[in-house]
Amino acid sequence: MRSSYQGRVLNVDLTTSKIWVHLLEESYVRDYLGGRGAAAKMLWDMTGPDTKPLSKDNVIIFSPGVLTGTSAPTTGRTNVTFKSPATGGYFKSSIGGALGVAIKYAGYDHVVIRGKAKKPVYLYVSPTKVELCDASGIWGKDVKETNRLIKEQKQESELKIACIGRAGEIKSNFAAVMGTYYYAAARGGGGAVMGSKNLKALAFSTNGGSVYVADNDSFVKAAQHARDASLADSHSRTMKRFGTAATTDQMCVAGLLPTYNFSRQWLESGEENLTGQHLIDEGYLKRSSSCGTCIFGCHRYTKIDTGKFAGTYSEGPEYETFASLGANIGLTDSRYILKGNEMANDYGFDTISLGSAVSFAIESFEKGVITLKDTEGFELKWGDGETLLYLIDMIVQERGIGKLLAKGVKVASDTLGKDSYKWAVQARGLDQSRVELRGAFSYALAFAINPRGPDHLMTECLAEFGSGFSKHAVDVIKKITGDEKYAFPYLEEKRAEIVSWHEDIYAVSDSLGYCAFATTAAYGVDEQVCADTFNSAVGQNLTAQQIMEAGRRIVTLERCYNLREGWSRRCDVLPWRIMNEKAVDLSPKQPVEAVMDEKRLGRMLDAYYRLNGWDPVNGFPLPDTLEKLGLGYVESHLGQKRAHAMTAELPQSCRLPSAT
Amino acid sequence: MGKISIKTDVCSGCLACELSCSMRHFGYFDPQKSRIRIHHDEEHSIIEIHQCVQCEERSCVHACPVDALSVDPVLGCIRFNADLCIGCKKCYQACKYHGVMWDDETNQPLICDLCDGDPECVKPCKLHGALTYSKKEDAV
Repeated sequence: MRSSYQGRVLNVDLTTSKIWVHLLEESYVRDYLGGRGAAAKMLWDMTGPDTKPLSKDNVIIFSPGVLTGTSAPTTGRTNVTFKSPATGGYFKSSIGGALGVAIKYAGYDHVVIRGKAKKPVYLYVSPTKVELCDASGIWGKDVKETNRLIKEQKQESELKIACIGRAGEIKSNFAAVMGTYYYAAARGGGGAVMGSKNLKALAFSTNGGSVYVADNDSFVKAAQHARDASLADSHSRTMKRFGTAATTDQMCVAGLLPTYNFSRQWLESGEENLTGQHLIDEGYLKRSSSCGTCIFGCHRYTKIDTGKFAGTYSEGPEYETFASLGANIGLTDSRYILKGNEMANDYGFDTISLGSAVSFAIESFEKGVITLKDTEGFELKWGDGETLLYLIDMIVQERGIGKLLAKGVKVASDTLGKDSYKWAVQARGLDQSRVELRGAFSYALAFAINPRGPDHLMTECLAEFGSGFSKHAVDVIKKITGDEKYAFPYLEEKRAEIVSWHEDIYAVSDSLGYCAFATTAAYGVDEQVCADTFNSAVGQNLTAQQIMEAGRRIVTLERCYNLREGWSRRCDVLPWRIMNEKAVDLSPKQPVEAVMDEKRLGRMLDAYYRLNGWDPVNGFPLPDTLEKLGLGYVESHLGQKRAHAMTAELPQSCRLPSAT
Repeated sequence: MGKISIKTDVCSGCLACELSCSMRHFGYFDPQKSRIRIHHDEEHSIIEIHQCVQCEERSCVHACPVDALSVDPVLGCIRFNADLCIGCKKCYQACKYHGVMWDDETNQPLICDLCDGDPECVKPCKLHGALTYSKKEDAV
């Protein structure tokens, strides 16, 4: 049957060098929507509590969306799924650029890598040939050079390559998988999983291959409607013009910008340097670039032409990078942030966790927990660009305190002790992304529930900011809750409904390949648009409600993966600092003083569990809920754990000194 | 008369134009079947857009030894008669604008036909603005 999803899985066992293809059953697309959902099911089946994340037994699965390779707008995304060395749990990271399109044209819907190669290798895939190639001469090279060398070796200048830099080789817990140079499946340590397997890269030829859809006329119409709906949202133009750092300065004024390792919510000055407008004004922005079929083009290709950092070039900084390598260490000199961004991309680091490591180190230095002896005599200071660059070098070279910081702030604080968990701004092993949760309650709930840890890339909830964000945001909140009065971030009411809707559409979005910005920022691609494009592409007949139910199935399975690992309601927390400290320096314009304490979060969690048929006592989906979602097979793995969930020893990633 | 105007500096490299072209003419998505090609040096973000520019010279038409190519009197684009084509590739070699693509599968050229006045490649490029379609007398 003509379909944009054939369920074709390319399997590679690096231990035996065996390569084979198998086909998935129809249920993987009908019930799990391919992409992220199908990968979650495969991860559930292929790994478990005995799987050590950095062992040959772990797998890393590359899954473009069901619609990737078609002309549906913004569907160029690829899910990278693995058991995370940072969290010890389920992890999906998403990568943009042109990688996913190349995987689809090579003829595959998923690429599953397992085992461990004896020496460094890279995988080469074309429509006619799949082979493992010697990467001994490439090991140790940075991302740009890795791309160049593989293209030279294969004499194919348009190869689409996913690779690791030195961060992945040293198995840093925040090593990214870097796709087509600058696009990153950044979070969770997917790069370390590749590094642990001696897998330097995957290279996909662009010569040949086709993608079909089930109903051409219906699909072309649905894709055009998706485009029109996306462009009708005012936020689409903002993203095109300024990228993701469109509003950093406004967030600062509103008291929503985490600064100085989340101890404040605003900067004294210089916040305008951390914006897309600044990249334009300074002449750094050379091109707005896109992932496959994106109508927005939020990526920024930037270059510094003059001065101390002349010749610096990369893509970004994104908002999260400006906030992590800039605001959260009190740094507003954009030249250093662009340089740090280039280094992070070349070494293959997640810029969020890299920034966390830097801000944690500075605060630890300030409090005397680490000393000049740990830093080779270098004085770590807030707001200092040289501190940023020096620490990045120490981390990638594993020098001094850098060796410990490369493991992430969770491991670093566990090792350093002395109350450092209080300023290790992480939960479940993942550093929090740069949203001030004390002023955004949907985000707080979403971050507490997120199976990855406290970040925004499973559940953007921008709509809760209402008219402060966009007109469409208000409409979305009204659709979800029945009343636009809930489009306000300092409310507890209806946060469960808002978060659940966003989780479900995000799972649908990832599985189909849509960028989350099309579904949960511009909000133009809604449930109906997803269903229409999906149905016409794969020949299914799901209603908008059914496709959201499939989203809930995916979210629930991912939850169950972590429950099988020993997680429970006790892991549904936020970083210690967010739960226990007030932001001490609220912005003068901050309208409401908010604290995200345990009681407030607990009330929102209770509402969320009840809404979704989960047991509020332990956070496990009830057996009846699993049955209704077609996840009955999960129960046999959870039954024993339910009873002991609130007393059993927690996995290391979820433990805090105060909780043991 | 119609014309697609190309602004390379605002192209984002999303490739939706290639896929839309392929679907329109072949009924499936395959960049190798597209009559517009985006060449993207991703490292340095350098982009080239290759498509028939409806040049004055009409080198491809003149190079064809069997009159398989002609100029559409209404739209001004190149018309291709597959029945006459002998696959000599002279049109492909003659075009200095890289506006003639070569289909290795059929051994025949692929040249933009403006989709009969409603070009598909332009539709996904609305916000980027790298491709815009206009009647030739209005074209800038």
